[in-house]
Formats: sequence, C-alpha cells, structure tokens
Amino acid sequence: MLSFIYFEFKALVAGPFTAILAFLLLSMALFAAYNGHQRVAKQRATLREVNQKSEDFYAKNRLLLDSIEKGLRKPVETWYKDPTNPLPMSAFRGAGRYATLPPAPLAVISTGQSDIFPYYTKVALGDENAADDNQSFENPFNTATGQFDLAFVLTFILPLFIVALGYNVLSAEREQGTLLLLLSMPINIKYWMLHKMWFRYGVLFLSTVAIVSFSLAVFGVTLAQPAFAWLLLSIGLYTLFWFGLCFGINLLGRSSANNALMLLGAWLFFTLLVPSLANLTATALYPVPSRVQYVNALRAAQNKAEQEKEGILVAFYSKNPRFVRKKQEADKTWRDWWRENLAEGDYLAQLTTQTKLKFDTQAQVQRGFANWFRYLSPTIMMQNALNQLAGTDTQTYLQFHQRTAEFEQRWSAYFKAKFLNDEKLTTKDFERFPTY
Amino acid sequence: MILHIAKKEFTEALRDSRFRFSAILLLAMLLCALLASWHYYAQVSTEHLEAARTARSQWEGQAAKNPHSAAHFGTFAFKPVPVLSLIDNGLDKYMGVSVFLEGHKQNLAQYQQIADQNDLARFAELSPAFALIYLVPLLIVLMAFGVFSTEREQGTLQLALSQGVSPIQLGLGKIAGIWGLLLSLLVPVLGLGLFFLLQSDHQPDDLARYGLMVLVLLLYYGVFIHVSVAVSAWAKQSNVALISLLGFWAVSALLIPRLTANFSKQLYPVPSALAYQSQIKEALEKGVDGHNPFSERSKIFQDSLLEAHQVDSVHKLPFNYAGLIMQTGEEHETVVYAKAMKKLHDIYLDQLRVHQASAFCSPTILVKLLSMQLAKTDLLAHYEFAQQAEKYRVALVRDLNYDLKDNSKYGDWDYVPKDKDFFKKNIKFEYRPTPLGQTMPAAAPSLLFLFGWFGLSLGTALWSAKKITN
Repeated sequence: MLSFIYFEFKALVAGPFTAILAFLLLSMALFAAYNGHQRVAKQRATLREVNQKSEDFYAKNRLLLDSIEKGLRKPVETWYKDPTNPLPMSAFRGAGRYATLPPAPLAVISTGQSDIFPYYTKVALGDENAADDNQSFENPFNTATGQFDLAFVLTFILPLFIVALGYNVLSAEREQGTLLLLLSMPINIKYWMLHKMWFRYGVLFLSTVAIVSFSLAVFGVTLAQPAFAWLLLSIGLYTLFWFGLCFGINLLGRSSANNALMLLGAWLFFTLLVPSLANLTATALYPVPSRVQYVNALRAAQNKAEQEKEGILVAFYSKNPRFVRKKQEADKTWRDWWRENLAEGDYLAQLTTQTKLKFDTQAQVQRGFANWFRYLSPTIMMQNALNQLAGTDTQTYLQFHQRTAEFEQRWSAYFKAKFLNDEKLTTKDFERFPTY
Repeated sequence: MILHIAKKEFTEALRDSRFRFSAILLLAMLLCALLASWHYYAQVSTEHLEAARTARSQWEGQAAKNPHSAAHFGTFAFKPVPVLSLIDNGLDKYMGVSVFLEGHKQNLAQYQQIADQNDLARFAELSPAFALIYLVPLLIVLMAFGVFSTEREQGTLQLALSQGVSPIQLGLGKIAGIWGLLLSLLVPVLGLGLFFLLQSDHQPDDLARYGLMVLVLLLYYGVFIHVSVAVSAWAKQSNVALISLLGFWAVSALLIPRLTANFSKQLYPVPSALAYQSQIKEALEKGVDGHNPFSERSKIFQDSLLEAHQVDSVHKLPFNYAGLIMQTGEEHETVVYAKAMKKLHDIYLDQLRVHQASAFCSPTILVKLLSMQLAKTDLLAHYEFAQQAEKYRVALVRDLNYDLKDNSKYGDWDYVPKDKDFFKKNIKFEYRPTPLGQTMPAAAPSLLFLFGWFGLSLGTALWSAKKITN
C-alpha cells in the first residue's frame, strides 16, 4: 500500500501539470480572498460611518439638552431644532437610527447577494429608508458578470480541476497500453482504480484546504470557528462528488476524449443548465408581479389617501377629541400639520401593506419553488452553502429587511406617542430610545 | 476540392451520435429560450405601456393643488423594453425599471428585477443570448476538436495528405464543413428570431441592429472554429485538443470576465452611496435653496433681483417671487445632480474600457458588450433613458414653477391653478430610443477588435494547417 502511494505520488508530481494546477488554484484563491477582503472591509467601514453619523447626531442633541436642563443654556426656540421635541429627534434633519447587518465572520468567502441587497438603512419615523443612501453603485455590468470570489473558485473552477485530474485515470492506462500490464497483476482493477481515485481525492482535498486556509489567514480571517469547519466539510463533500463522477465515468470504459466530454457535459449541466432551466420554470410558473404595476398600485393608494383626506381627518379628530381641528390652513401650527400628516400616513400605510405583502409573498413563492431544484445540482447546493456560511444568502437579507420593518414600527410608535401626548424629551429619554 | 472536404466533415459529424445529441439539445434550448423570452417580452412591454398610461392619468387626475406641491407629488417614467431584448436582455434585470420624477432632485432608477427573482437567476439565465454566446461555441468545439487530431489518430491524415491535396485546402475545407453544419443549425433559429422581431412593434433601425448582432455572432463563431481547427492541427491526441479548447472556452467565457470585473473595480472604484450623497449635499449648499429664502445665496439673489426691478420688497415684484426662487434653486439642483450622475457614468465607462481591453484573451467579452449595445439593453441605453427622463422632469418642474410665478401672489400657498385641466395640459414624457448612429461609435472599437480576432485566428488556423505533420 505504501509503495502504491509512493508511486502514485511520483506519477502525480512527475509532470508540470499538477504543479501548474496547484499554482493556478493558489493564485486564484489569493486573488479571490483579496477581493472578498476588500468588499468586507468596505462594508465594515461603511457601517462604522453610518453608526457614527447617528451617534454624533444624538450625542450633540443630548449634550445640548443636558445644558438646557441644567439651566446653562436657553431652551431652543425653533421647533425643528429643539432636542426636547420628539419630531426633530426622530423624523427628519439627520434624525433616525441605522439598522445594520454586520458581515458574518466568513463573509469573505462569498459575495452572494450582497451586491444587490442593502446591508444598512436609516430608520426614521414612518420611513424604513429615510436617507435613501444605501443603493449599490457598482457597475451593473460587473454585477451581472459576477464576482471573482472564493465561492466562484470552489464551485465553478475546482470541479474543472478535478475533471482534469481524473478524467483519464483508467482510459489513459488503456490508451498507453499499460492497462494490459496492470491486468496481468494479481490485483482487482476496480479496487486499484478506487485507491487511485481516493489518493488523488486526498491530495486535492488537502491541497485545497491548505490553499483556502492560507488565503483566508493571509487576510486575517479567524480559522478557529465552527463556520470554517462547515466550510471544510462542504469542500470535502463537493469535491468527493466530482471525484465520484470521474470514477463512475472511467468505469464505463470509453476513450479519454469521451470521458472528458461526458464530464464537461456534466459540469455544464450542473453549473449552468440546471440553474437556468430551473429559473426559467420558476419564473414561468410563479411569475413575480411586475414592479411597474407595483409602483402604480402604491401611487393609486397615495391618490386614494389624498382624496379621502377629509374623511381621514374627521375620523382622527373624533377619535382624539382633545385636539381641536382648525379650519383655516393659515391658522395651523406645525403641531396641527404633523398630527394630520401622521394620521394620513397611518391610513396610507394600511392601504399599501396589502400591496407590499402580495408582492413579497409571490416573490417568496417563486424562491421557494426554485429552491427545490437545488437537489438536482450539487453546484447549487454548494453555492447556497457558501452563501449561508458567508451570511450573504437571500434569506439573511430578507430577514434583515423584516427586522428593519419591525424596528421602524417600534421607533415610530415610541416617538409618535410622545408627540401626540405633547411630551417633551428629557436626557433620560435619550437612553431609552428604541434600538435596532 | 474544398467542397469535397467540407462535405465529408458535414456527413461525418451528422453520423456522430455525440454531435446529434448535443445539437438537438442545444436547438431545443435555443427554441425554449426564444419562446420564453418572446412571451416575456410581449407581457412586459404591455405592462410598461399600461403603466406609463396609468402614471399619466394619475398625474392628470391628482387633486387640485399648488403647482409646486404637484412637483413634490411627482410622477414616474417607466423604462420601455426594447424589442431586441427578446434576443439579448443584457443588463435589464440589473437596472431599475422606473424613475420617480419630482421637484428638486434627480432620482435613480428603482427596482432591479434581479432582487425580486429567485437566487438561481444569478447563476445563468436561459436567454437566447446566453445560448448563442456561451453554448454554441461549445458545440463548435465539439464539432471541431477532432478534425485533424482524430484523423491523425486513425491514420487517415497521412492518407489524405498523400492524395495531393494542399494542407491549406484541407484546412479551408474543414472550416467550410463546420460552417455548413453550424449554419444549418442556426439559420432556422435566427430566422425565428427575425420572425418574432417582425411580429413585434420594432423601430426601423432594429432590423439593422439585428443584422449586426448576427454578424457579430458569426464573427465570434468564426473565431471558435479557427481556434479549434488550429488546436486540432497541433494536438497529437484528440483529448488534448478537446481539453485545451474547453480550457479556452472556460478562460474566455468564465474566468476573464469575472477577473476583469474585479480588476476594473480596483482600477476605477465607484463611490459609495454615502459619499455620492454627501458630495451632492455639499454642492447643493453652494447654490440657491428654493425652500430656504434665508440662505446666503438666496439673499444675494433676492437683492440683485430687487435692484434690477427697482423695488424694496419681494411683494412688490411684478410676479410671485416664490415661483422664481423655486425655479432658480431647481436649475442649480439640476446641474448638481447631472454632474454627479455624469461622473458616476464616466467611471462605468472607464470600467467598461477595462473589459474591452481584456478582450485580447477573451472574445466572449467583446460579443457580450456588442450584443447588449446593439440590443439597447446596455449601460449607454439606460443612461440615455435616464437623461431623457431627467430632461422631461426639468421641463415639467419648470412649467409648474413658472405657473406659480406668473399666476399667483407672493405668500399665497393656497393657490391652485384656475384652469381645471392644468395638469392635463402639462408636458408629456415621450421616450425616443437610441438611434443606431449613436450606438455605433461606442460599439466600433469592440467590433474592430472582433474583426481582428477573426482575421488573426483565421491566419493561425491556415498556418497551422500548412505546418501540419503526421
């Protein structure tokens, strides 16, 4: 057995082929890890910046309020700059707090959906994206092309390397004429080949693990974490699948060219054909309602709210008799204006919730259906697994969105209650503001 | 002679079950893709037309209000779907479908379709362009990898050469044979594409665009045929030829585009949304703010205006000062946004040039760029749409502000236009598609590169055939 490993090893390192593959894999992994590192660093810096922004705002106003409470400064006259006023502290002019999705420990490995979905958003009273500052400005051509990340190297490129290492394990022996020699030996040819495959698998798996670990460690990713163990397991299983496929196809006993064709056909099938056909089926069977109609539906709701303004206000004032309705526009103070504005906003939110829900549900149904197809392709499973480990899968972003919406509700409810009760904020309240 | 050789290649390939299987599969996929995208195009273009109509009627039917409030209320421009997107939908799914048009600011297009779709859409999308650009070259490789190498292995190459045929003729014959096979497969598909195109609401230059798309594809296929023949001539074994050619495909179609995407980002980084916003904010503060008459700039403007009209208060001006200051602010804001947008777009163009430059090792990038340019589903077409929407926004808001200026009194924010049909009479958004003359200068370098690839690869193929040894 030892001698087998020895000879196999010699055969493997004899030509420049293996060395070239290893070198290619290493350089690609390093470049991919570098790209991932850049992306995550940018994400971290952005999150620091936005958190700092809202912290600065509240620190400044808290300090001002503190001085006012201690009698060191006069109260602020202008209502929209007053730190005791719940509205300017929650709704506009820099107020609001960012909901943020910090990168997962292994975020470096996969861009996933991070180039499409926002990872931070400013929540203010009645608004989930108050600053409108979280779009990705990356070139759509680059986004559509896809990123050169470790996930790409592992799911798309690595199988090609495996095919290159394994497509002619048996067929080459036949074509070189050494098969007859082997057959004359007292060994079972299938076991012999299985050993050969296991050996090659071991070499490839260990080198991949070494290369990936090295590339991640270079860019400061902690390897001692459960997610990393899952990453290794995923690589182990995925590469095993491809070696198994090579083994099976070699056993068919066709020529090397035929094996190569079949294996590349399989690669094409799993990486491009299954996903694209599944996507086509999912989109055809469960189309997502059109966004242009969605835009119009929201606008229609806005028009409806505008037309029913009178009814909304009558209902509001009869429900809240402590407020007196002023007939003339000119007599209205900012308080009247905001009260009415919030009442209209509540009504509009009621109208649009249904539209949004319908849209989100249908998109979710399509995603759920398409998800079934992952069982047809290990490549999809691998990509999904890597996205999940990197925390860049769609579900993570949808959950982030969901939690942001909940946070907005809490934030708005807190400040709205203070405003409608004509309460003034105190420095103690500043500690109790809802947090994400 | 060449014809004889071509015929032989043709017949031999037809008898090959591998080829038959792959060709039928590819044809089926192409047809599927065409039908699906035809269906999709028909649906989406109706939706967009309808949406544009609805948006207009929502604008016209809005409650009577102050014209400047109407500017804040805003309206939408929907990006029309170009008919050639049924062949190549390019970047359409990655760019927003609607732009909100309102006073004071230029908004970016919203709602990328890709964010609403299932995750598999990120892998690959079975569109006709995908099949034509990525899959057909694979079929070519399959047809051509063995044209010389298999004959060498079977010993028929020596036989053929001993018959007195010149190696160049042999090479040309093989190339012609592969073309024959390829065209017999593609002509029906391309014809069907043309049929769909003629059936839909196409622009006069769309047919020329389609013709150019076909030309680009044929040049691209030529490259793959030539490279395959050349590699087959040099390779001692068929499997080596096959692996090398598939390697070429993987590098050209898969590796280089992604590598370049990342390189272009490193070379020309785009600003973050935060940086973009704060830059705009800074620039805005340097001009008149229509909603803040107390700002320094507004005061300077007001003083100069009062002096020009020789009055001592804005109330005494012969028009509503509020309307004028809104419009003055608007004009400053328009320039600020246009500059920011242009700057961003220029970075995109720099990045695209990196892609174009990487074409020396990837003809696929060239075809991708050209095909979406011709289909009007690229960045330029999108930018053109955004520009037109912006021009419309500026005109609309100007009309609204001027109505305020000319027909109301200063301080009268309860003013509503007396004409009940005021909003109905507002200017309408008409999108003019990018003419071919505007696309061509941008596409010319890529097209030139592609011709270069075609010529060089043909030369290499014939040279390799000439050098052929047994």
